[in-house]
Amino acid sequence: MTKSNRTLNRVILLVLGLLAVLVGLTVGAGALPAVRDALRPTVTFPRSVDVPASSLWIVAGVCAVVVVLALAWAVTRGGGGTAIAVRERAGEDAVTVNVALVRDVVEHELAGAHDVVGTRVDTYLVRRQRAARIRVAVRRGGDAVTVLDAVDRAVAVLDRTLGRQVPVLVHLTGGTRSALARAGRVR
Amino acid sequence: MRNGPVERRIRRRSVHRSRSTAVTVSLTVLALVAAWVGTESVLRALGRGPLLADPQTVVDVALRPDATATTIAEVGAAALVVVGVVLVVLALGPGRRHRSAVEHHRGAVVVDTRIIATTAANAARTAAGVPEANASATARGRSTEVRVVPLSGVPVDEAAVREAVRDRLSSLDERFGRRVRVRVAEKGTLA
Repeated sequence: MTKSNRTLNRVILLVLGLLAVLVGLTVGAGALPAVRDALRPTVTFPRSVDVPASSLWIVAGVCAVVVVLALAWAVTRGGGGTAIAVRERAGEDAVTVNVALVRDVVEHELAGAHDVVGTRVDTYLVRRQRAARIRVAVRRGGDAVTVLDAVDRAVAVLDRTLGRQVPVLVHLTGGTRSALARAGRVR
Repeated sequence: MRNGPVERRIRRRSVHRSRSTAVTVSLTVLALVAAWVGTESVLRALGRGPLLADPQTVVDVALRPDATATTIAEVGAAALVVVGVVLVVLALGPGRRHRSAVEHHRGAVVVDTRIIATTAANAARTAAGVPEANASATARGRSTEVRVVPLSGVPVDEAAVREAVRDRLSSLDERFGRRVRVRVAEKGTLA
C-alpha cells in the first residue's frame, strides 16, 4: 500500500547483491596463496603501492556521496498513509472526512458479524487517490464466504455514508487474535 | 476483474512482498562501510592516527598478506558472497506472500491462504456432520486438501464432502474449487 518504488528496490538489491558476490569472490580468491602463485606468471603484483594524498580526498568524497544517497533512499521508504479518507473541494471550501469515520462505520457494521474477531482500517494515498484498507481477522475454523458477505454489506453502508465509492482493499487474514479466539460452540 | 487501476495496484502490492526492509538494512550497512572508509581517508590525509587501519596499511597488507590477514579476508569474503546471494534471490524471486487475490464485484479482495483452508475445513465439517476439531484442511496455491476424521459408526460420504468444499470455495472464487482432495481417516473418534 505504501508508495515506495518496488522495481527500483529490486534493482538496488540486485546491484548490491552482485557487487557483494563479486567483491567477495575477488577478495576470497585473491587472498588464497595458491591463486596468487598461479597468477604470478600472468599478472605481476607490485611489491608496494604508495597511496597518494589526492586520491584520499577523492575516496572520501565518493564515500560521502554514497552515504548521503544510501541514507536518503533508506529513510524515504514507506509512507503514503494518510488520516484523510475523502477530500472534496468546492471553490474556496473543502470538506474532509477523517479515517476515524470510515473506521467507525466499518467496525460498527462488522461488530456482530459471524466469524469476525477484529477489524482494522487505514487509508492510503495511492496514485493521488485515497484508498481504504480493511483488514478483517477471521476466526480459526470460520467461513470466509459469510465474512466476505458481511464485509460487502459494511462497504455498501460505507459507500452510502460517504456518498461515493472509494477504492477499498479487503484483506481477510488470520493473525494472533483469531488463533486465540475460541471456537463457536452453539449455533 | 473490472476494478479500477488503484484497486488493481493495491491488490497486486498486497499479494507481493515489499523489499523495503531488505533495501533499508543493506543500504544502512553500505552507508556505515562508506562512512568508515571515508573517515579513514580523511584522517590519513590530515595526518592523524587511524580508527582501525589507515589506507596505506590496508594496501600493503593486501599486496603481501600474512596468515592472519588471509584468514580474515577469507571469512569476510565468504560472508559477503552469502549476503550477496541472499540479496540477489530477494531481488529476482517472485516474493509472493501466502495470500491470493479473489475476484469480487466491489473492492480489491485478498485472502490469506490460511483463511482459504479454514473455509474449506468449515464446509467439510458441515457436510460431514463432525465436530470442528475433526476436520482440517491445507491450501497451497489453487489446490486444497481436506482431512476428515469421522465419528465412530457414522460413515462420511467422501463425494458429498468434496462437493460441499468445492461449492464453498467456488463461491469465494471459482479458481479455488477446481482442485479439491478429500481424505477420510480410517479410524473414527468417539463423539
